[in-house]
Amino acid sequence: MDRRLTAFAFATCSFLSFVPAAQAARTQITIGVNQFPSNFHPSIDTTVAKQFVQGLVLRRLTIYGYDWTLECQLCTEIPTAQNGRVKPVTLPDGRAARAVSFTLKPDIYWSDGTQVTSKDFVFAWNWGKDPQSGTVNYNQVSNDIVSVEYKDDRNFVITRTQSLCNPAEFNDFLPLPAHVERPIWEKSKSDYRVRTAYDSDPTRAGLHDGPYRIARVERGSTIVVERNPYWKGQRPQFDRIVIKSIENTAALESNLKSGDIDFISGENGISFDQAVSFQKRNADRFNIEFKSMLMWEFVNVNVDDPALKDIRVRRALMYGLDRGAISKQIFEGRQSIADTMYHPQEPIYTDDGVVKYGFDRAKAGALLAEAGWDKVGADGIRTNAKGERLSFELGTIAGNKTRELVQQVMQRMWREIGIDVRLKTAPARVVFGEILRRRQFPHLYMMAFAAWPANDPEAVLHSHAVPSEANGWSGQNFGGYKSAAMDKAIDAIQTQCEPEQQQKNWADVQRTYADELPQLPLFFRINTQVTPKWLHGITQTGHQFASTWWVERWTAD
Amino acid sequence: MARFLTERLLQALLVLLVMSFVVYMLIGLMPGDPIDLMIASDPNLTAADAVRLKALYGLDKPVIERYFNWLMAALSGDLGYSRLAAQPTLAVVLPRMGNTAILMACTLLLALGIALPAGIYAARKPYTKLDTLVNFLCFGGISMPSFWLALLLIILFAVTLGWLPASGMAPVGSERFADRLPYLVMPVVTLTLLNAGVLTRHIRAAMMEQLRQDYVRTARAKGVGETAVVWKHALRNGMIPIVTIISHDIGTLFSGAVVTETIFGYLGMGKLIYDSVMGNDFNVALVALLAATAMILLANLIADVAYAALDPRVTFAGRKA
Repeated sequence: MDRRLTAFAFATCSFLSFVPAAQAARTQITIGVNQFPSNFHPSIDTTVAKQFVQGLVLRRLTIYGYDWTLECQLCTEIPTAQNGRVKPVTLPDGRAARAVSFTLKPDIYWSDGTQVTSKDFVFAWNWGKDPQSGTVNYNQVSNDIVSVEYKDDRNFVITRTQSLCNPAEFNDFLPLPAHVERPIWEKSKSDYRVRTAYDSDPTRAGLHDGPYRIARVERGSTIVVERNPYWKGQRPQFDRIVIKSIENTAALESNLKSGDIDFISGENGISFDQAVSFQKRNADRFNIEFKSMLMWEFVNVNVDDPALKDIRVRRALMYGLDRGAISKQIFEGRQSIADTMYHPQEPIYTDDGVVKYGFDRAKAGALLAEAGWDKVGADGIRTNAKGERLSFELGTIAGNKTRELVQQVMQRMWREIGIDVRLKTAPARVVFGEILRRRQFPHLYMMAFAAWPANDPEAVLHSHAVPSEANGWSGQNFGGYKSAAMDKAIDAIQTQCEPEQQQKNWADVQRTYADELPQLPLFFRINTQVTPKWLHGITQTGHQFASTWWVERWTAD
Repeated sequence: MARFLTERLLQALLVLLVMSFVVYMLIGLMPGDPIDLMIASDPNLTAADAVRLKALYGLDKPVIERYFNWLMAALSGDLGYSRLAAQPTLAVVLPRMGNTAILMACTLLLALGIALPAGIYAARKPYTKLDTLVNFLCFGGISMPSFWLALLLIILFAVTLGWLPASGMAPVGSERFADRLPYLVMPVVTLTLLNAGVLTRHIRAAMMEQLRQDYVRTARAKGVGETAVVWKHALRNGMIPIVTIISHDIGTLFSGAVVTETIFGYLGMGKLIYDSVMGNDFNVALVALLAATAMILLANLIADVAYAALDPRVTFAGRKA
C-alpha cells in the first residue's frame, strides 16, 4: 500500500512538474513609443511623447475624459456658474473676468509623502508668469490668469480674463511641488528651466503626484516608472511600467513581435498602413484599435489669391473631391469625412444647417463656370476671360507618405474638373518655420491640427489670428481668412456663456465654416494602437489626452 | 616629429574654429526657432511677449553676435546647456561619444578581420571562381540598404529565432558592459557588412597592384616564402591607400550611422547630431559636429603617422627620402 501510495505521489509530482504553472500575475509591462520626451517638467515644452509619460506620473486639475467632457482629476468638482464656483468679476482696469473656485481632493500626495496643496498651484502660477520661466503656456499664466488666491491648503481661487465660458479648462497649468522646486527657482530664476529637479534629478522623490513616479531614465532610450507609494487613488495593477523609445516604426513592430515590448501606444505608434498589415498577420495575438481622432486633416486656402478669394471656386474644389473614395481606397473606409473642424463626438457638434459637400463633379463645373472659369483649353484646364489658366500649387509636409498619396489623388480629381494642380512638399521645419507662419504658400497647403473638445477656433479662424509682421507672425489663420460673421460668432462663444446661447454660437461657427470654407476640410485622422489580447482597459480617448492619464484602469489577465 | 605634430594640431584647431563658425551660421540660418513655433500656436501671445521670450532664449541678437558669445563662453569652458535634454552639453555628448566609439571600434575591427583575408585571397587568385564570389559578396554588401539589412536581422534573430534583443543598449537597469554585448551584435553586424565590402574591394585592388610590382618578383626570385611576400612585403605597401580609406571610414562611422542607430535604438553620435540640428539644440549640435570634425582630423593625423611607419620613404617633413 505504502509503495503504491509513494508511486502515485511520485507520478502526480512528475505530472505536475510538466504542467505549466498558472500564469503568474503580470507586474510589469513594456510600452513602445516612437519618440522620447524632450524633458520631464510639467510645463516647459510640450510634446505628445512627454504628455504620454506625464499621464503615468502626474495628475491634472481638470481633464477631458473619455466622453469628451471636462472632469476633475485633482479637484472635487468642476466649477460652474450653477454650483457657484464661477463668479463674474470686473478687474480694476475694467476688464471682465471670472473668479473660479477650486477645492482639491483631500488625499493627493507628492511621491515623498508631502500633500499637494493650493500653495503648489500658487507657486506654479508665480513661476509661470515670470518672463524667465520659459513655460510653453506663457500666455495663459501671464495674460489669462491674473491671480491665484490661496484660501487654505485645499481651496484656491483662479481669476481668468480669457476662456470666460469654459474657465475650468487649462492647457498646461499643472501644480509644481513648491517644497522641491521653489528653492531651485529662488536660487536663480534665469537658470531654473535648466536646473529644475524634473530634469536634473528626475527620479527624485516629491516630483510626481500620479499613480506612478519616475524611477529610472536612460535618456533617449528608456523610462521606468514605479508605483508612487503615496498614491491614494485606485491602485494600478502593474508595479512597474517600462517605456522604450524606438523611433523607427518598422523596428517598433519587430520589437512587439519579438516580445521586447508588450504594446505600441496609439499616441506615438505605428502608421495606419502598418497597423492594417499587422492586423492581417497577427490578429490572433493582438487587438488593433483604430480610433477616429480629434485631429482634422484639411487644406489651408490662401484667400489672398484672386481665384481662391471667390467662394464659388472654394466650393467647387470641395465638390470636385471624392473624399469617400479616398477614404475607401487609402484608409479602408475607416477615416471619417470632416464637414468642419469639429468632430461628431464633440458635445458642441451639430450638423443642423451645416453644408455638406458630397462629390458632385457637375456642380463643381457649374460653380467654376459661374465664377468666370468657363472656357476649357486643349489641355483640359479651365481659363477665364483674360486667358488665365486655373492653376494652383498644393503643398504639404514631406515625409508623410499617406498624405503625399492623398495629395496625388486630389490632384487627379481636381484635374477632372479642369483645375491644374502642381504638387510641392517641404520638410516640417521649413513648413512651420517659414511657409505657413509667414504665409509663403501661394494657394493651397494640406496639413492637420490636433485639438481638444470644443477647441476655441480663435487661433485658427479669427481675423486677428492672421500671421503678419504687425502681430509678430502670431496666429494660425494661415490662409488669411477674414469674415465678420465668423469673428462675431467666435467673440460670442467667448463672452455669451449661457448654455443655450453657447450651443447656438457653436452652431454659428460650424455653419459659417462650412458655408465660407476658410479651409477645405478633409478627414478626421485615425490613430492605431496595438495591444496584446491579455491587456485590457487601454483605449484611446480620441482627443489629445493620452490613455495614460487613466492608467489605473489598465488590467492584465 | 614633434614639430610635425605641433603644426598639425595648430592646423586642426584652425579647422575647428572655422567649422564652429560655419556650423553655427548654418544652424542659425535654418528657418523656425522654438519661439516662432510657440508664437504661431498662440495668437494671444503679444508682440511684447514674443520679444521677451526671444530675449530669454538669446534669439533676439544677430546670429554672428550669438556665435561670438558662444565662442567666448566655450573658450572659458562653458559649453552651455542642451535645450532639448535640459542638461549640460557635455553630459549629453560624452556618453554618446563613448557609445559610438564602442560601435565604431567593433565595426572596424570586424570589417578588417573579414576584408583583409578576403581581399588578399581575391588579389592572389584574381578572376577565379572564388574571386568572383568575393566580388559578388562585396557588391552585395556595398549596395544593400542599411535599414533593410537591419530589419532583416531583427526579423531573423529577434523575432524568429529569439536569440538577440531587437533594439536598445542594455537590459533596463543594467550597468555591466557584458550585458550590453547582445545588444551590440546586430548594429555591429549591420555596419560591418556594409563596410567590409568596400574595404575588401580596396584591399583587393591595392594588393593586386603590389603583387605585380618588381620588388615582389625579386623577393620571390630570392626565394622568400609566399606568406612573407604577401604579408610582409606586399601588404605593407598595399596598406597605404587602405589607411586613407580607414581614416575616412572613422569619420563616416562617427557621425553617419544615423539609420542603423535609429532602427536599433542605439544612442550614438549620428542620431544625436540629427536630432539636435532638427530640434534647434544649438549647443549640442555644435559640440557634436565639432567632435565629429575633431575625430576626422585625428584619424587623418593617425593616418599620416601610419604612412611613415608603413613606408620609410615618407618623412614628417613631408618629403620623400
